[in-house]
Amino acid sequence: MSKLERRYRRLLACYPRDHRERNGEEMLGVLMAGAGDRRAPGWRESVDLLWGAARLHLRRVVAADGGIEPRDVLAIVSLLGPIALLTGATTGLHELGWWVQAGALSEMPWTGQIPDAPVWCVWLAVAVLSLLRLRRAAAVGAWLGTAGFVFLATVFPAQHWWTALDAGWVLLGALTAVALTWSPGPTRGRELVGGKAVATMAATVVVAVVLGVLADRYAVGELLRLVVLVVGTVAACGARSRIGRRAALVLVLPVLITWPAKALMLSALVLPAPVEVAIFYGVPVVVLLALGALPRRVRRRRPGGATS
Amino acid sequence: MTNGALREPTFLILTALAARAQHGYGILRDVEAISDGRVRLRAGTLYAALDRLSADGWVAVDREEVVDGRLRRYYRLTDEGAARLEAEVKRLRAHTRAAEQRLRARLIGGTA
Repeated sequence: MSKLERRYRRLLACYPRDHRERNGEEMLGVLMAGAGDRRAPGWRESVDLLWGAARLHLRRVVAADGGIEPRDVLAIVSLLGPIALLTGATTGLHELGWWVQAGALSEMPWTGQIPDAPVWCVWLAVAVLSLLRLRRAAAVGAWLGTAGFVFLATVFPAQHWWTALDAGWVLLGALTAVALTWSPGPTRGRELVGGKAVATMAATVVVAVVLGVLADRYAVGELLRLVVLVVGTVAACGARSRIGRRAALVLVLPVLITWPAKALMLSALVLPAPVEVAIFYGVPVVVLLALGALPRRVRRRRPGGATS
Repeated sequence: MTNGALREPTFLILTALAARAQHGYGILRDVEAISDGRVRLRAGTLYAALDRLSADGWVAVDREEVVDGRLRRYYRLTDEGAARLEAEVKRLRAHTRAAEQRLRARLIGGTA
């Protein structure tokens, strides 16, 4: 391999993986054919290649490359999002379990202990409506549920950590509401992932909630709960398809931010609310957009169609 | 299909593919020839355009060859791409006709 080819390959490594797999060797051929006696890529050529790579990454960020249908991703989220979201009710169920165990359920101050119960009931209804493929009714419920989160954050700011620890559920709620409103809906989602996906997601949520209720004080239990959520969600969405992986990312990322939020709580570091919102709402959205376009390792395509 | 004006590189790439399928380097050379040497596309610009044109369904892969151990992929204009190019030609022709008429009127009536 000549020095020129090596430098071109280095520049081409900046392109999105799927583009490199499809067009990398072909582009290299074009570049080498036009290189003449040059020993290194010219600066204009380098800038052009980097700018071209940036444009292609941008197209993939907004899923405009045609390789993935963003409405299909949202369709899967509209089907599985309302179910996944019910995991967020774990804290309330844990409280309820404590009062039941103490035999004092009738004495429990409902509005003080689980003020978020009505909101989770709304989300349970959204999950049922979504499974019944009543997209519009589910979308209305999802926006109501999201508004419920905002209401709780305003009226009961000390009850839950809506700007940090519980931000993931609010974000997932908003994403689910968006998916139910602007996608072909649960019917299309079921076509893409099949009926088993619903059962897998539901089983994942049940196991995660049980782990959360029974083992919330143990770090191992919490970690296991997170693993169950991630693995179960990826399995439900379909790990083998690009659309499934993207949908799983949308569903899982908000859950993952609970861990840095817990670390923040344990460190006793107090951040202003706007900073917390920027971190726990802004960062996942940015990561969600960026992960769709990061350069990854490429299977090199050899002339004749074979890959290595 | 968008009805807005095509950008010059897009117009020239579609024009290069209008008569026959061509590979990447062939398109670069042809664009330069069509524009009388004024437009010299580079590989980064060409492949970003081809990625978009393929996604829009205006351009498709025609065939692949291996020449001197390197993959050479030929692209062709689709029917949809040809229709879009034709619409652009009509639009440009109408503009050109209007410009010619105004220039003629200017010569006849003197400068404003």
